[in-house]
Amino acid sequence: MRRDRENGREVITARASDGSQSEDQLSDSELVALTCQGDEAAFELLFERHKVRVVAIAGRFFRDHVEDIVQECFTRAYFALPDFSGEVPGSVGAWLAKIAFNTCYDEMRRRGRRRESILSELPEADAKTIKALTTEAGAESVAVSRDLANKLLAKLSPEDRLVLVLLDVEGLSVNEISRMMGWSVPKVKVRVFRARTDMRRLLQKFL
Amino acid sequence: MYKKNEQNLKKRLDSAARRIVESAALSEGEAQAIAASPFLFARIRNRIGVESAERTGVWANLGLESRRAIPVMALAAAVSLGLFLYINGNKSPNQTFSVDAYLGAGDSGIDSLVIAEKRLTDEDVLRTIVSRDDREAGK
Repeated sequence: MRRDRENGREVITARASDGSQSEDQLSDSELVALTCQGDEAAFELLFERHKVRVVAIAGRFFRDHVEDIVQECFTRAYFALPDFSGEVPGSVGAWLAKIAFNTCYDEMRRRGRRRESILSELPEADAKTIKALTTEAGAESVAVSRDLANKLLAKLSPEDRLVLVLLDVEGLSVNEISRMMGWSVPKVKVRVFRARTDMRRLLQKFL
Repeated sequence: MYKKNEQNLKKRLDSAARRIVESAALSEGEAQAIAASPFLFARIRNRIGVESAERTGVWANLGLESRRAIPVMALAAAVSLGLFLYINGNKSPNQTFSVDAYLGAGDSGIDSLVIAEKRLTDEDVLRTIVSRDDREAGK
């Protein structure tokens, strides 16, 4: 593994077994193996490949300090790399996503359930937006600001918020959530039920 | 009719909730911009370095401490063993604690204990009782 500067661009190259140079063609599993051997450039390449996905996951839960979450996630991943089996091709991404979701969950729990605003104190415009959102055609046509969405979601417990994101945004099944978070299937089902009920109760206040 | 309305309301609320959850996320452009930060990997590398040093430091300190602690603990164990053997070696069999005396088997508690502790013979006791009776008779 070697780093070169080529036309002002940094290129990570790897020496193939036959001695020829193959540029940036290593699989994730090979990069994991190289990182475990202490190759920092291999870890950087893994980071480059998966950083956008991890940032997107962190951005689903946090408005600020997203970089901190990403940093925590990749640090955890680095120290957990020796435990990564890598049997399934393309599984590094899924493994990193799992670490990212767990990091976000831990961070939400650490920060606690922030009650940043009391719902009755929401500006009238926001209350109107929520009311419009719950009408027949509202869910498709009304735009919700990120700020308002975060204010509403801050009312949920970390578990409920995580479950809603995994279900509604990531499109995971109950079994997949169970595997990802290490929770039992009944626990996930209960969480989904509670999360949906809490969200309905929250929105019904604006009807 | 009521049930149908309620189900309809639930459906609307759920789709509104879905929109809210989706809206809370960063847009793809925002995510790309954060990911493109030139210092992000530098920060991660720095953090990994600090944690590696901490982890190595913990193990190194543990090794150093145990290297120091082992001779001290061995010395303490040797001294304890020596003391134990010394005390047990000097102990005469007469000095053993009498459970019967303590529990008052065949006699009442404190008297038995006193007798057991002072190694009084039955004759001593009899003499004491007789002399006390004599003293009382003399009064």
